[in-house]
Amino acid sequence: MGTLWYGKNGIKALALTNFQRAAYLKNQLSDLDNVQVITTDTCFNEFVVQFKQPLEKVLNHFHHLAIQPGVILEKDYSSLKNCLLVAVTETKSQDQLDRYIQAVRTIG
Amino acid sequence: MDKTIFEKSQEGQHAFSLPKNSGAFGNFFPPSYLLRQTALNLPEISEIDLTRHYSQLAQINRGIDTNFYPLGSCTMKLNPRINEYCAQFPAFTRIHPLAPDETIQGNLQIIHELIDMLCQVSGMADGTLLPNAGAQGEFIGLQMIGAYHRSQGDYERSEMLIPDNAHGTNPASAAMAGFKCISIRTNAEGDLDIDHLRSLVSSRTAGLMLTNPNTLGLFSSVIQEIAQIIHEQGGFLYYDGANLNSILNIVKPGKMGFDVMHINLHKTFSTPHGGGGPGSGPVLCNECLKFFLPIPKVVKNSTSYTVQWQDKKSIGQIATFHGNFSVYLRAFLYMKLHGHYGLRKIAEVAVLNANYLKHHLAKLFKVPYPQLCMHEFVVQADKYLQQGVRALDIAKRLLDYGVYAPTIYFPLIIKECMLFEPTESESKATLDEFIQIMTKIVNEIELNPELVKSAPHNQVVKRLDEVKAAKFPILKH
Repeated sequence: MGTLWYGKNGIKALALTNFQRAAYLKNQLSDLDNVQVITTDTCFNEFVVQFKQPLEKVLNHFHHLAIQPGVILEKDYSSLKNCLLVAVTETKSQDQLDRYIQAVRTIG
Repeated sequence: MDKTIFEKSQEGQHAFSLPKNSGAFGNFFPPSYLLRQTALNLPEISEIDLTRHYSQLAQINRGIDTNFYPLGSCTMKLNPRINEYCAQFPAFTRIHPLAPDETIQGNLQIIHELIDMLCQVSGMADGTLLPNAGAQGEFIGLQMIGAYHRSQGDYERSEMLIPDNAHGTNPASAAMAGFKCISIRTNAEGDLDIDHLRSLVSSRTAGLMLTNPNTLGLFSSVIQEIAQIIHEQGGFLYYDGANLNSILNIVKPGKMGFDVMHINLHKTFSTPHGGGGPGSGPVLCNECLKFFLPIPKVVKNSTSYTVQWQDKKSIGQIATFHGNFSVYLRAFLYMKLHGHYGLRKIAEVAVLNANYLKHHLAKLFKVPYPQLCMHEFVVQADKYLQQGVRALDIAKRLLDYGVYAPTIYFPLIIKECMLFEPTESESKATLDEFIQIMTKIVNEIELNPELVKSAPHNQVVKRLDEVKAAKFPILKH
């Protein structure tokens, strides 16, 4: 039903909206010092970031701000220490994405 | 028939809306080599036309919300609206399956408590909610039986005993699990033929799959003897929980001697049948088999719940994440709302309704097993074959009277079989109306059999060519 609601042109518009919001967050995060964007190639809606600080501290910081920042990758990929898989959807506003960026900036 | 949604497509129409893009997003575009060159073959249609299209399709469907639906073996009972309402809470619907344990404690508690409640009503020791359908539950239960035998160094148990009136999923699941299916006869009273069972059970027997009451709606008076025969040979007794509705809190499978079982939550515990899914088929088992349950398992600690993803003896992971949480959540609510007393009343009324209907239909049709039944019963509709009227014709004529048909031609051992299951949801007035309709159809058979043989007459479509539909399906636009 969702597919039909978007229809022939809506699906494409949805995909572009999703792509642009993910690209915006990825681009903004790549300018910050305490995180490194691991996914350098073009991505669609999700990418990997690696934090300089221990992940436990990072997650506590985000949870304190009521943000679930991503999926911990080390459990499934032992080489990806301190890494999160960050996924952005078309439902995220610029305000929400800017809050995420600000949260990364303020990790102690 | 109405046009399909594809045939209603109008260029330029659309239903969707998306959040407005701020300027900050406009600088990003995917590289052209990643873009598809042709548009998807999806219709262009406005939201009101889309809404009307599916509302109209819904109106021509027959379901438990619109009609009496005595489809035997399917337990078409009311799906309480309170369950649907609660299951839509955002705290349930917006949880991510990979969310950390500490952020989903409520969900984990529900999983743990539901397994505990199902163990209480089944008389089992432990369980899993992971299987995504009753048939998958069967497959998992059988895998656990196989794993146990292998853990004992016993690699010879390759046979699964199955009654000749079993649900079709039983032999299918057993075959998929690698067992050879051995059919056990039903005796003249409708129970399992004990002598035939004794002659076929051996050191090759992995187990016996049984539902009790069976698919004829009859409770086995020799179930403990059956359990003893199987256990003495080192086999396991598997309970097909499809017919659990009739014994809720009256008798427990674990107490009857069953070792492992699945439950079809869409039957006994009122989760929506959903036209084929999503489903949920929890598996429960005794102490002996619990080590082989699939992962992940939800473990209760002193102050919290955690998810255990590793277990050496487990048969492994059999579903994504935690199975269909939103489905078994409804079963959890159903059990909480009814409580143990309420669950027993469900079984009692389901049995009462079935016996009331059976008593009256026995005046119209041959009833091969006249004793008291449990939640369902069979009639043998061969009395009117001389007029050329079969069970199929009667089922089709019922549609004209606004009633969904009973299950027909199952169990396979009854000629022109019709299997009725009214469930506890229906009032006496509804049952009386149904009896009147059946009486009227029998009169029609005697006076004008062609009317019945050519039914249905007032439906959106006439009698369909089911063979052609199965052999030459049109699956895409």
